[in-house]
Amino acid sequence: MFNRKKGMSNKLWYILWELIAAAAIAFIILATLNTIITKNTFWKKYYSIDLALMADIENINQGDFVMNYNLKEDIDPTLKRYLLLPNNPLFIGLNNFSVDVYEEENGKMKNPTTYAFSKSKNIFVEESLTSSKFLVMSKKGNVLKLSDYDIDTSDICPSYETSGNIGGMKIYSYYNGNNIKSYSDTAQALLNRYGSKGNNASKVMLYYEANINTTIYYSDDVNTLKSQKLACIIKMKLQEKLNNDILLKKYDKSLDQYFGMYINNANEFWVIIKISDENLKEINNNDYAVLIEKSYIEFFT
Amino acid sequence: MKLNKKSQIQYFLWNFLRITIAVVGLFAFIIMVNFYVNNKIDSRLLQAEVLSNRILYSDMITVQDPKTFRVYSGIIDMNKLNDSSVLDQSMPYMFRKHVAAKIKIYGQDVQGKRVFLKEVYYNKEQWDYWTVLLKNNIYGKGSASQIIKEFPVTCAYDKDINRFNYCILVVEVIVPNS
Repeated sequence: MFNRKKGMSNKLWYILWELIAAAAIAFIILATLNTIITKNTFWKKYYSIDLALMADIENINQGDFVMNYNLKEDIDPTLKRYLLLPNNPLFIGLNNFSVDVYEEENGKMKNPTTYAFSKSKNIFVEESLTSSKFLVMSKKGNVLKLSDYDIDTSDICPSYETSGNIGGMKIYSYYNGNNIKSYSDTAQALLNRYGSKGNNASKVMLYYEANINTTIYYSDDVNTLKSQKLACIIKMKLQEKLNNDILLKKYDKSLDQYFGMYINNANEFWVIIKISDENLKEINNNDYAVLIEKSYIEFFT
Repeated sequence: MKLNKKSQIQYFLWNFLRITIAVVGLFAFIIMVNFYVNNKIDSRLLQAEVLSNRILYSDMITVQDPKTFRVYSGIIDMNKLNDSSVLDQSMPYMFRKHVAAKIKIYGQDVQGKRVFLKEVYYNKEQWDYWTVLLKNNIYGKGSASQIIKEFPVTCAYDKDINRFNYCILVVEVIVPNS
């Protein structure tokens, strides 16, 4: 049948149309998959099961219970990248009888994955819908709730995963006045033992003013969670040395004139510590330096 | 177009080859999607563990101090088991096909043999349904799996734990396969 030219030509057209049909079918399958599967498909199921089982445990109703829960950053690429699968933000819902994990697409909650838990008759569930990389599930008294981590009101430091090699990160210490230069320099001398020069550098900045409330600022950028954790660790250690209360606050750009050049467009996490005359009498430069070093070590442990 | 025998065989072989390649391509596609889009999480054992521990450590069937509300884990309040719906009331469920359980309490006679004392169901309707499937060895996604756990406990017959004996708590949990 391939011996004649007309026969060969017909056959080629036939194969061509077959290839076009195969491509169309493949495209339809991929498009359908794209609507069902996203980069979050596995994790939605994982988080709903994991959190619902945790809620089940909290419903045992023996004493108070606080759990910090860190959601994974991302997902393995490979085929999903080639399939152009969307990576939508996740919303975690806690209801009376289940944990629901939604994806947000164009402002709408869609494709929830649900896993049930058994609510104790004595427990009141505070229904919520939360979107955060770091969650807190707590049962205090008879109230079970799921929320963002609120560092300003929390009694404990966040426990999200920051373990790693402290030697892999350069740490710089800065200051704003000559009377705290020795504090910053001593800290820098200790911190020089870690890391090598590079673009990724963490910074700890010391700000002095005669009469101010002791405050530690954490960043309001992509590294907020890390910055919060470091600020909280420093606060806990500093609190043991000082007599006054220490505030933890989100940075409000009030010290940009002193530290703006270090923190604007920073690649890594940083904190600013505001101390007063009174504080300088309670902690000397060596204690401050050791405290900062220990805080970083704890952060990376 | 009429084909001679030789052409017919060629035509058949040609189509056979094309269909074979198409089938292989389709299977490769399905395997690749299954490989990369991993959506399988088997939480059955964990779910059963959580439920059985919850029964043991919560105030559902254990002795609880009426003043301090302290729960004595591992000390079973036998009076609570007189109510056959004690588990359903303590752990109401929204989804019937989520989990079912049965707890059995065994004592011991003078020869050390187990003596059945009491049993209570959780989600009994679903338990009966799944039990039929399990007894008939029906497997697959529509069926369920059973996990049995035993705990040595104390059976108390009053709130002050003056009258008690040593028992075995057997928790049988059935969870769906999917």
